[in-house]
Amino acid sequence: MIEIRNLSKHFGDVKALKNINLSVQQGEFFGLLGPNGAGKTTTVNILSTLLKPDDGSVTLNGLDLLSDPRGAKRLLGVVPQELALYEELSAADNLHFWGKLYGMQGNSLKARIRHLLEFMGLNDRGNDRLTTFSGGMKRRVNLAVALLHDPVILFLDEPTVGIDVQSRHRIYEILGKLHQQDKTIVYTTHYLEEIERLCERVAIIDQGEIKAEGTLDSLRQLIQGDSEVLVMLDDISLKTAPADPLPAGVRLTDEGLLGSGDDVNDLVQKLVTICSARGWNIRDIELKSASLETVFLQLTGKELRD
Amino acid sequence: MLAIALKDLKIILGDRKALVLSFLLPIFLVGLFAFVYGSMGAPREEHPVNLLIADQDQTDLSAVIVTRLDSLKSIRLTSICLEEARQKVTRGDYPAVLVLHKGLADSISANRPAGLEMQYDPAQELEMGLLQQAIMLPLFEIIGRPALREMVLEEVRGDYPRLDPKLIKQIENNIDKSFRSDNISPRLQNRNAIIMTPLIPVERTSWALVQAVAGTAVMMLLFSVAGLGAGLLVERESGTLKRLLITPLHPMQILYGKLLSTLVISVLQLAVVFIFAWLVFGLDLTLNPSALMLVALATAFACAGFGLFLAAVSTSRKQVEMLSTLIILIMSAIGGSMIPLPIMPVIMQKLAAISVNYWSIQGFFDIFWRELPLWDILPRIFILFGMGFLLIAVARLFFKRNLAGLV
Repeated sequence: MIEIRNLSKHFGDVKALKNINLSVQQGEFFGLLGPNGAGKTTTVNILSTLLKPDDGSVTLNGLDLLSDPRGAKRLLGVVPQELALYEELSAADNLHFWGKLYGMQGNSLKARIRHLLEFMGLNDRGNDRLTTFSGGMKRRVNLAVALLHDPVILFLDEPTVGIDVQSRHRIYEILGKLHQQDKTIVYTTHYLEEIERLCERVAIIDQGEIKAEGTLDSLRQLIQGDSEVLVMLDDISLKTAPADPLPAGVRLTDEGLLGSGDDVNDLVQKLVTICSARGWNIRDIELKSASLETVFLQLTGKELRD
Repeated sequence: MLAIALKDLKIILGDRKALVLSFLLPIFLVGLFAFVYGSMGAPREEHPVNLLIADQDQTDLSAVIVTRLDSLKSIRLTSICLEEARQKVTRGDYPAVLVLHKGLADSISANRPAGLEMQYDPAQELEMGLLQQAIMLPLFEIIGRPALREMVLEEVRGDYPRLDPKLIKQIENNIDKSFRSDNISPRLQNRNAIIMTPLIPVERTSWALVQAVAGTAVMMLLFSVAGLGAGLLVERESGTLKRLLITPLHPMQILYGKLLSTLVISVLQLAVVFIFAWLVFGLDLTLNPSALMLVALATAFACAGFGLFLAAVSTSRKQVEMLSTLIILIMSAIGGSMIPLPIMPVIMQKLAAISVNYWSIQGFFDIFWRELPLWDILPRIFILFGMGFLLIAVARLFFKRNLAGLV
């Protein structure tokens, strides 16, 4: 469905994308995970024909994106990071405007707008101006606009930025339904829980490079060791802890020390020794399986929030 | 408080283009107004007034008059046939034509009215005052004094046929002394007064009303279309421009869509202004409706092109604000919106032709003041459309070039 080959892009001296290769199958929910500035938005901008790559090729459903961008645009629905809507207009008017730009008109457009407002749970607010909408409702209209022309491929660029947990879950539900409708979805985010909840496969991108690609399970197997141990510290210890450097394979989280390794017993002993040497008080010890965050940390050397 | 001031200064100083423009604008305007007002008080020799002369008499005397007037530094004289001169004055290109009618020399000899006529454009009142002031004395020296001298001597000889020739000679000398050019009363100057004939009937629409309505309407329209520039940047900032670029629309269609909406608003704005002038000040909109619609449409098109140009070349809202203010005030100042053209220095009057204001205001003067037929107004209409197309072409280039930066 989506084939990306040797894609490169630079802005001045900054290499935003370095020889990226990716494949996304039809109906797949594919996650592109990376910190801010990793190259996610540049990738989506190229895939949505906004930017031309310096090198490489992209095919969508067998259609060459670079030679037939207008044809490709018909296949694509893009949900940009921004709320790209006219807040002075109602939800229905926004949908009507954007539908017209895709060549839709008359009763078929009206029917599509009704359907999408209902699908988004906004059928009773269709005629209200967006200025009266909550952030979550605007995000849903933002998503509805991308679905107007019933695209087979959907690019979502951090579509839940700046909204509360409840609204976020509402969007997850909608995306789940779209996935059931066999839409091919490429989802960029720096929220790990979104990737873990929604995506079947994921690519980790950092500094314009794909660091790893595969299912969540296959990615977890990439890191050394199968297990993680979290030694939870009391509040006083947590306050003093950031000042001390830690050995390799051990890092400090909001709750305490997290380490990964093959042998759980050795790992626990190692972490306990670190704590007693520094006079930190242990509150609890928890055994965990390797998380995607640990995978990310191992592959990129940095945390997602960096 | 200091932190807020420092933050604001940092933001303002960060946008260098906008900063430069904000300093350039007052400097330019101060320079411009100083130049215009300074030139108003300057000696006329530095800024001669244009005058056409149609010599239909073609005698030695008329040649002397032409030569004498041509020697004046305060006027720039152009000899021309009467018909062409009348056209030029009617079109507003020249303030007046001085006609030396056939039989001028004979009239002087026969002590009849001299046959001098000034056909003028009442819209150029100030120029006319300057012209009269400049030519009256030289003309009196050539025509008025000999005529008066001849008239007095004729009277003396008629009443006192036996008068001593020495006494007559003394009278002649006294007349010459009394009627020195720097010692002549206005009453005597008017003895051979030039017949003043306005080429445009004075009962027509008030010149000042046309100037006020047309000048202000065009300037305000330019300010209004500047919002288009800001509008495109708002779309960019809100992300809707990016989304528009993702749709199957050609990028230029986005630009043309903006142009169309601005054009509609511009036409409506002009219509409202002229209807207001009709209702409140009695501006006669029925004089030449087709020409009025075309001039308004051409003006709206040129202004919309200007708005599109601003939208394409600016990269921040601050830049739009400063660039639009700078260009609009310059065009309005030199184009006749802020200062009526006739009182501007000649060089500024020539510079006016680069502004949308000039062609538009002159187009409206052609309709309401000069009452020219559509055919004669067409060149100004074409120039306005041409300006619009040129600005759109430049806007296209910039928009295309900046497209990658817009996402």
